[in-house]
Amino acid sequence: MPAIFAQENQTDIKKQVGTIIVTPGNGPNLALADFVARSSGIDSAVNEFNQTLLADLEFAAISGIVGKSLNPKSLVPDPASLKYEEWSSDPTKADYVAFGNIQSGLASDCYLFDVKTKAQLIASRHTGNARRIAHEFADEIVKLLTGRDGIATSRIAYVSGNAINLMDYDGFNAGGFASDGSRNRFPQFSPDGRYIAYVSFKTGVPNIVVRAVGGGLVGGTNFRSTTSSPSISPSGQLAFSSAISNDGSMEIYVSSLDGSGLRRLTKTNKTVNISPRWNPATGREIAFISDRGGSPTVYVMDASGANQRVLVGRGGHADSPSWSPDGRYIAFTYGGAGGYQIFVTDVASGQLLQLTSEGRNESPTWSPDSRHIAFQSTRSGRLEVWQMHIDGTGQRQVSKGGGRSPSWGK
Amino acid sequence: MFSKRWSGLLGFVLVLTLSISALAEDKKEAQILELKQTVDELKAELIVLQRQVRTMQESMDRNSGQLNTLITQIVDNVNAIRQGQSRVAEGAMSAVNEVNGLGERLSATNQRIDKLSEQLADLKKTVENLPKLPTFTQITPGNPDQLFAAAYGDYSRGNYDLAISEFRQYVETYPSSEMADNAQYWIGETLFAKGRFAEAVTEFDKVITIFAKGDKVPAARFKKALALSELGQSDLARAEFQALLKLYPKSNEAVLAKQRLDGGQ
Repeated sequence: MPAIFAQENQTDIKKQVGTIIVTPGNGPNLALADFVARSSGIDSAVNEFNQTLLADLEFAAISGIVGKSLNPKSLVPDPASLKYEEWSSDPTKADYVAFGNIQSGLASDCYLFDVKTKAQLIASRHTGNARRIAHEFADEIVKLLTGRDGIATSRIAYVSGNAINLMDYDGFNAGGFASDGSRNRFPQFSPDGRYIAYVSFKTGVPNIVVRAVGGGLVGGTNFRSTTSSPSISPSGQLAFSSAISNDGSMEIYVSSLDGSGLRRLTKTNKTVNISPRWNPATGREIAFISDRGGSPTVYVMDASGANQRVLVGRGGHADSPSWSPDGRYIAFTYGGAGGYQIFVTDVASGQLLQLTSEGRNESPTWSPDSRHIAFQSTRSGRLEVWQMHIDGTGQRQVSKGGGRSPSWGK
Repeated sequence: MFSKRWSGLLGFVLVLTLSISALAEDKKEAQILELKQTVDELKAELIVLQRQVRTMQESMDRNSGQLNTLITQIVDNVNAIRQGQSRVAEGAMSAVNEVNGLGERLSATNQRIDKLSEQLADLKKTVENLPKLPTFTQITPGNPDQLFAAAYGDYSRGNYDLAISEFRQYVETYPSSEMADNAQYWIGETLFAKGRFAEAVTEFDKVITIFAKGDKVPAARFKKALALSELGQSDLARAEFQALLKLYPKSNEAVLAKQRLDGGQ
């Protein structure tokens, strides 16, 4: 077992991440009344809406979700039909109830009530396909109960075969984003979710391509040496790793999105400096991997290249750091002969938490709300994209038909 | 607007406490004491919350789930009181005839607690409408590592004002600790992040002079030069880059300084 597994004091970070995810029985109870079809012929769409809303709110883990078997039997298509006591008393014991109706088109009238104070908290209308309107309503509920944006409408970019694909955060609605007949690798969303940078082998030498999420070309690099692992800062700067110095090292550079204004941040002797990742909250610092001390270790430096220092992971093999959008944590892959697993470190205290143990798990990426992590895992027998909460619970497979190197965007 | 509502709320808690005290002779003394304790905790919680909400309204800071945690805790407290009450109520059913008006008091309390729930819902609304949320870092006095970690954590999250005051507190409280030069460096760094370049220069200078033997000097000199560039004082910046090359030729910052001098930046 490498030294990193023998962290004696993980109690603080455990406690800290333990408060981020609401486990059943803690926090307020949210009941979901099945939405009612107000037109004929849309039953299957309404069914899909109800299932999607439940899955979204269960994964969001912001409140207890009352099992639907405990719901009162009466239908609640609108506020006039809501009997508060039915929902607040035994056995439902809800604090909040979400309900509504759907008409053909689809258009949904969505409501959220506090059944204890009888207050209407949300009344909104959404139009679109069943999954989309469920995601939007789920995010509205999360925003209302926590004051923070939900992730149900967020998307994940990932590598499938030689192409970059995009899918909804829950694995549905997957489709191609970029393929040019050559190998495409390492997609990375910009913090604002507008761009995706990735590595293309189209010219024979790996270089970076930056595209808008709509597909339009925004920029990239065109060097004669291997150039890889892009990361975009909040202000639209590109960081990447390249061998252009021609002295046997991979070094870290920053530039504008079109490759101009190039500045070199590391200069080492025949070592590898890779996987730069901006702090997406501030853009002030860059985490990266360097083996200058012998083994690949997570370092942090100022965005100017100053003040380079070890953060975590000496002795063993650390890889693919990923900084949480709130700036608080860095997730990374760590391992060696004993296998590769995902760890998270609190940047302030340096405390570590191991989040995975089954199969080989790598390439972590954070959800926009910093409460969940997507990663690649071999546990199903092939590489697929998986997800979990920040405390390591709730692990589930999201990609189908193969997936790796996920990047979770807004 | 807040203080009025909260003082009313605290008044009710006080009344509730007194009415419960009146029952101290009852056989159910233990349960009642438990309830009283819960109420006391709630009262303390409310005072803390009141203060923090006020801080929050003044604060210009983002990103905290902690307030929601607080709200959750208060909701839990309200639920605990509800449960405590029902236990007392159950126990008291047999003693209702002996204890005058307990049932009435309890139902009055019920109404108050429902009111409290309403006020909590209001508070949630208020919280949602606040433009920015602060972080409330728990600092144990006398623990330098924790103070440093809290300060750097705030820097990483972009809570710069908080980070500056925490790093300053560190330098003042532990001037001879091993991390004092680091804390001094981070004061400059955080001011730099806020775009207060002149003050950043002053603070980086303290790293260079007060902690001249420390390992943060090359980084402080380099960032001081960058701050001078930002202030348009390119001659001073060049002089600082050159000093860095001369004094610390082997440092990583010297490589960066050379690049800046060659690039004329």
